[in-house]
Amino acid sequence: MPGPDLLRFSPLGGEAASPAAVSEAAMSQGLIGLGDVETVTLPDLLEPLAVCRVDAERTELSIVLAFSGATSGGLFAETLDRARVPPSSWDPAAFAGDLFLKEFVMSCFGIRLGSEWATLSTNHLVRLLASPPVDRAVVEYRRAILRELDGAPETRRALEGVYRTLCRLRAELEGATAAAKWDANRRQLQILESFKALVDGMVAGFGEARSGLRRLAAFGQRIQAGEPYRSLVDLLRYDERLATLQLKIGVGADGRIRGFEILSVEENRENPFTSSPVRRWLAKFELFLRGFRFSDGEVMARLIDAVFEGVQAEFVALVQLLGDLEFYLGALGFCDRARAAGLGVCLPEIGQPDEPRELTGLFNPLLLVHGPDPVPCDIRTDRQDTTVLITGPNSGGKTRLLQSLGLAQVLAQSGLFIPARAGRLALVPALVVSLIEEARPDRTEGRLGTELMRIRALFERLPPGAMVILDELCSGTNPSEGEEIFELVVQMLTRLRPQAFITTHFLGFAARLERDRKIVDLRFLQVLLDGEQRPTYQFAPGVATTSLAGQTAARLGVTGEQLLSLVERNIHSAHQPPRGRGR
Amino acid sequence: MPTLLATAKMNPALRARVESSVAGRRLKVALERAKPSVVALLRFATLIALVSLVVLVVIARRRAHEERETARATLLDAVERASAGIGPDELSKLDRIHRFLSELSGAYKGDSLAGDLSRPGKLGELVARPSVYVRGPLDAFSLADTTAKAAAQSSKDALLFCLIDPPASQSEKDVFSKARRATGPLGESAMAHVGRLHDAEIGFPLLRPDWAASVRDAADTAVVGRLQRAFDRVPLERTRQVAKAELLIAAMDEPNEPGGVTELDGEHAHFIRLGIVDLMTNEVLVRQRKRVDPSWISLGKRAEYAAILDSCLFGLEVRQAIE
Repeated sequence: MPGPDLLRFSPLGGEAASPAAVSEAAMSQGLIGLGDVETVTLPDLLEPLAVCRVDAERTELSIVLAFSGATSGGLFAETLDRARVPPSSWDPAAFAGDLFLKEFVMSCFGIRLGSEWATLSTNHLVRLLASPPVDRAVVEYRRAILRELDGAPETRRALEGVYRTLCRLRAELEGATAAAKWDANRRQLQILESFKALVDGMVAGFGEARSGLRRLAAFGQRIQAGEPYRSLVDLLRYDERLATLQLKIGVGADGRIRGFEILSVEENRENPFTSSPVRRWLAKFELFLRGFRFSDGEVMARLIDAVFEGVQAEFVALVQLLGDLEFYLGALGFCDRARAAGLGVCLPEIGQPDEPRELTGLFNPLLLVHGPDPVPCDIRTDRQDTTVLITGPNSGGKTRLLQSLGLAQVLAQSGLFIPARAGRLALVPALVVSLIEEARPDRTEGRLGTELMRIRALFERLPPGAMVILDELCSGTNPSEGEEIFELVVQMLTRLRPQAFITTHFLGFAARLERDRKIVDLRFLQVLLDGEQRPTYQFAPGVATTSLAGQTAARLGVTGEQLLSLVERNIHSAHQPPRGRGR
Repeated sequence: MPTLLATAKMNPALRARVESSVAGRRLKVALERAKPSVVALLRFATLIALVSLVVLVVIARRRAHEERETARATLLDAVERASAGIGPDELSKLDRIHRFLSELSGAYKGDSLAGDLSRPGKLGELVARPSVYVRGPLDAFSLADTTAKAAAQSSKDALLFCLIDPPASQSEKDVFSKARRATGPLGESAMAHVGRLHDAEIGFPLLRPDWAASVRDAADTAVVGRLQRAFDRVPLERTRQVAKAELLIAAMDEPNEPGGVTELDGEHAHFIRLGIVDLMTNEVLVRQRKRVDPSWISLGKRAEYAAILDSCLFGLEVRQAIE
């Protein structure tokens, strides 16, 4: 049942449509849950029905402590680290590590502020990506925001401006600025100034927004309409300009001041904080009697405290907003980086599992920073709910393809750009990724045992319709037994109708499966080789006929001739007298 | 609670927050320093203590002032009563007495007797007038301060008693009988109209206007107290008596004659001068000089009573010589 906000919204015009129709239309535009000005207490950019994902009470207390200067550093990051993520059926442990999600965020989700890179709440971003929403409406809400940001440069600039101001506010709150060292009042006034600039920026930059970004304007307008904001503005004006003096200064030929005359003094009497000098002195005395210092600074401190109390609750929303902004700006940063490398990104079409999967220009984003230039490829299957066996030579790009497919699914499911020029994907209830496990000193089983445990863990957590990515299934044992287990796994998988991608070097076995067609919903992709038998990092239907182990061995120096030369060199070295070490 | 930091132009909600901040109810305020209410309490207590101290000091000073003024008023009142009727003429009497004493102690000018004092009864009438008496060594009366010391030692003795109320005869029995009563009630009664010069020496300064001025000018209670004690020590009634004295009766003992015997009470053969001066007319009425010698006294009485017997006999001889 839609909430009250939804019932008030009628994008189809005329009389209010049925809740279902409203839901569908609103969902397509990502405008679900956008209430009027009075109800926008939280500028939630991740979910259409606004939710406070941080611990409001604890965060507000931390804000108060930070404002008073009692704490330093880490407020925002710690709060976001503890923040809840939107509900998700995905288990991050099942894929985040194998997809190097943290490395992806750190290398690809950069936000540039002028000449510097912003410090991101990486843990929070990883948690968000590792827990994509199950509700399609949430995905569409986010896609609408991203679409608007990508399509309107001025809107993106406005969002970057808001983020820049929010980063400045964070730095001031966490004590990272010079003002904190010598003047507490000045520091607190700077924080209030940044808060005002933030609110004004939200109102000015997003009043015309059509997506969930409109919430920023609504949030800012609500604050601007309230007394606490007006009091804040008055206080800043009071600090900036208590009075205006007109001076006349005479300067002689030697450059020295000859005369000094005050022509007029005009106090800003309209400001509610302005009072007579006598009253100001009495106020200082009153504070002294009440246990405070006898100083103008103390008077100002009380006024700042009173003004801050009126707005401090709004800071909670800003902490959450920082994480939301990094989510979108990070995605835009990934988009910029990809396009700068000549690669295309897109918001994919969300289809059904029985519809074809199409990924055009798919690339591995991890290679953008660390590896050789990524080579985009095209992946097409007639249906998405199939098991695809991928074969090909070593270093042919199979594992990279698996990473690309997994990351594309993660990003699509989160409502973000995927690393492909165009695409159609179906949402899945879970993602399980298992790449080759490295040998660990605490491992109790051999390679086969470890592999079997991997298979067991896979089936323990695999719901129907999930996406499965397995690299070199059953590679740790002799081929005949491994193929038997492999076939069993594939047969069992098909009962869950997953979207599965499995690489293997069991070429004969794969060819037999392709030939016999006994297992339904089984598809085959192979690495394409060029005329010189080198991988092209492109894929086509079919099963590879060779792993090109010989070429790989030659490339890595493991041929018979190469090994023999190494052996002869070592023997020769052994018969030489040992040389003394120099001092 | 209202605060001066809140102005009438402020929104009520802002005003309430300002009051809350000033009242120290905000966590932020509490974090910035020790709880303002505790500090305020300490300051208030300090202020109260200071004010109390000031009030106590003021009250104490006022009380001391009141006490001082009361004491001063009391003393001035007493001085005023004591000096009532004592004018410059009376107060100048002491200086004149000193001059006369100095004159009488100088070169002896011979016995003299003024007017009709030689007529019977006239000397008796004379010495019955209010008088001031002093007796001492001759050389003590040349200066005022030695005069004052001699006056302190001088008392109304047998010489004066026998001058006023002489014994029946010069027999040792009569003289001794009279002389012995000089210090008793009879002697006191007979010499009641005579004051000691010492009472004038110590009392006249207190009756002078400058002494009253010093009381009025006394800066603190201690000074007033000291003046009060000095005032209390002086028998001012006797001083007033001396101030009203009409006659000065001075007996001056010349140095002992060389040789001879000095009795146990110090009596030795020597001359005594007697001068009677009318202080009203500043006239020396009587000047007599006679020799006393204790050898006429019986041995049984000589050692112990030679001085009083000689003194009484001198007084009698003067009466007899004049009358």
